[in-house]
Amino acid sequence: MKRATRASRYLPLVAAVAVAGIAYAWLDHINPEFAVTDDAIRDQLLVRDCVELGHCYFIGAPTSVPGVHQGAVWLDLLTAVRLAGGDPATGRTVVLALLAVAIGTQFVVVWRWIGSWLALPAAFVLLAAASLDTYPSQLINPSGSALPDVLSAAGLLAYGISGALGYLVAFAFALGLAVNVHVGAVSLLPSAAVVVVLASRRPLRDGLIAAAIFLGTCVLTSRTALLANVETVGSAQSAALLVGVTVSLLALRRFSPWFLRCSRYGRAWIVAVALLVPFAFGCAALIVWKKHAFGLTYLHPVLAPAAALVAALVALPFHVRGMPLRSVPSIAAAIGFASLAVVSARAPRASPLTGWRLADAAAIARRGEELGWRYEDLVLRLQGRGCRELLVAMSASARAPWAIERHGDRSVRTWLRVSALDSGQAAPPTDGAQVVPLTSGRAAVLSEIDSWLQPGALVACRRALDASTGPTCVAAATGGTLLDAERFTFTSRSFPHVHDLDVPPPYVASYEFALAPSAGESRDFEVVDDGAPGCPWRVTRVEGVDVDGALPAPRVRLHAERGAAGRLVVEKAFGAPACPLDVVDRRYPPCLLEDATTGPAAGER
Amino acid sequence: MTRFAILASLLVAAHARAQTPVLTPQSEAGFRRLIRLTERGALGADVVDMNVGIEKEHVRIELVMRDGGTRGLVLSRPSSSPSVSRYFHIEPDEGATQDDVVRVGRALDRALQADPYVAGDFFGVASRGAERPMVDEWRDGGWRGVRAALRDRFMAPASLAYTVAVIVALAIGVAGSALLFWLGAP
Repeated sequence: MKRATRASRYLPLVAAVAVAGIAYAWLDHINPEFAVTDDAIRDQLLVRDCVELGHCYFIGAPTSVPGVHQGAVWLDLLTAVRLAGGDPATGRTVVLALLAVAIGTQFVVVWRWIGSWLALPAAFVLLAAASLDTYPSQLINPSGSALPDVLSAAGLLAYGISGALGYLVAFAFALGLAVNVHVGAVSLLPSAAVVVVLASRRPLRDGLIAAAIFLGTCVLTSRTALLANVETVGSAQSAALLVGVTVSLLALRRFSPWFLRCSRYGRAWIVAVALLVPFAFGCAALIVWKKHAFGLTYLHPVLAPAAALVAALVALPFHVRGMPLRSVPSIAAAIGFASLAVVSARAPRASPLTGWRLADAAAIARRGEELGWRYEDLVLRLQGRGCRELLVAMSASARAPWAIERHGDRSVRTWLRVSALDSGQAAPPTDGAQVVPLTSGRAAVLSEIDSWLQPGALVACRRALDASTGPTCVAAATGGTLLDAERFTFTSRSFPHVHDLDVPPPYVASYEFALAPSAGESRDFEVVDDGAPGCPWRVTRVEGVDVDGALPAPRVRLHAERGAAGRLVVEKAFGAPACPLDVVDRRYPPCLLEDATTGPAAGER
Repeated sequence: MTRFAILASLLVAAHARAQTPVLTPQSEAGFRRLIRLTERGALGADVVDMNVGIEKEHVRIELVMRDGGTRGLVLSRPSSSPSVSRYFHIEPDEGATQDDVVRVGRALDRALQADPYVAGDFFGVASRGAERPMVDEWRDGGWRGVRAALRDRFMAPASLAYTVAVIVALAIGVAGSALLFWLGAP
């Protein structure tokens, strides 16, 4: 009898390990290798500042809701990886492992607190939901949310069913982590208030203990973000809302005796509703009032309870009295897991996302430093196909500004051109060109060119699409970017702050490139644009030199009779119907390819 | 809640570090002006160009002479004694003379409009000066002084040692929570 009890106790653990193992294999199979994105590189830079400079921030990136900031727990995870000698590839592995543990935890919790019949379907639905995006490959904060989210939901479920304070303590700690990994988990706070009011015999004591642990975790890990967010939401309106919520909770307390008389299943259903409803209201508010571009990624706080709910709705018809096929949902889920295991082992892995690899960018940055180019120099003086993406990737390995000796002012007539060559192509015989071997047999050729462009005189402008007001312009600068401590905003080195002009969309962005032509010479200029089709950057105006053909055009040939200064203007509309508002794109000048001969250099990306 | 936050901040801020003034990327614009002044002949006809290496607390300047030679100078934060430049103490190095020190000092005063040394880090979060005991804040500014000091301490970045301690604590907490759910039963 005792042996049977012990077996029933450890059976779900063994099964959960198997579920987590298959989940890891599957997620590793479908997620490409680390993909360079602006957000990921920003986080890597913040972590580098912590590990190498000893400046560890209690605040993460700004969120898509103005004034609200992420916490620093995600950065702590990346810091741990870096301190252990890991790189972004290791970080991806850790994130996938945490996702797999979250799915295993979902399995065990559902088995123990709801029923073994629902455990496998619920874990399978959660794995399916976790397979819908490639965030783990991008190493940005929602990808690390799964485990604290699942622990939070599990804590609330266990507390709601048992009333044991230990589970509420675990919930409060996990929620403190979850909120500071991704702020979306804050929707679980009202859920917790509802469950405490309904399930606790001493709600004030339990609520205060939970609040203390939650706030303590926030202060310990992310106090700057906590202060920033409290200052943002703290207002008379918020105080009125708080009073309203308190009154509602007091009214809800009248239903506590009824809740406590409910069966375990009944309480589980009510807790699930309590978890989902505040989140749904929060999302609706964001979409309707804040016009938030809501995506699948933001569902993570409720993915676990939603997966259990979906699985329960599918499985319940098989549990109607007299139904002979009660095991069908679990068998179907088991077949699903087995299929995923087979596919993971046999099918080809996900191909890498396009773009620059970190190793390639690091090699180019290193050689650029040897030539005396700092990252800050390169921001406005790099030429090459996909140069924006290359800059983003290079910023991760570029050294801090004060760490590199300057070699004179390189702004005069020199730009650095990067050409990526396939393995079959020979390196062009350019004088002084530096050939940098890249991964996959490719190579980059770095060459300094005698350019007409004067990046130090670049001017960025924005004007409203309806032309009701004049343009707002700033001179481009190549300095680093700063944290405005008063406003709790920072931009990473991959976002030159001068390009973030505050004009509401739709608007036309333009960059005015000063030209210093050589008399009697000609140049071809081409705007490199990987943005949405039908909405390209185009050359709209040329001053001081002759231009072949009509404008606007993506590519122009210029002739200089004299050596007088000129100007080349490129434009693009943002927020217009054909032009999506790409936040990243609008903060960079487009890359201009310049050539003294006809046509771009062979083999450029 | 507020009391808890104040208490917690007092505890965790106890070991925060004082910040040494450093040069930030903001100083780059001033040094670019210095380079342009040099190119226009502000340092004399014999100096044609300048190389500038900005380090965290020092600046190395290399004067490129018309004959192709170079002269080095090292700029550092000035002490209380008088200096030829408002914002820097200048030491000649690698062939530079006292005359070079004087003319670079004058050009620096023209090029730099404010003290380039900032008490803080690259992002400038901690540019609010060294921390003072809370008792002093209360004595000087009363409740507002304490509130401002707490705000500063909330915003100051942590050391790597503190972050490592937090990471270890979080790892133990997460492992404990996971075990609670994996082994616990109704």
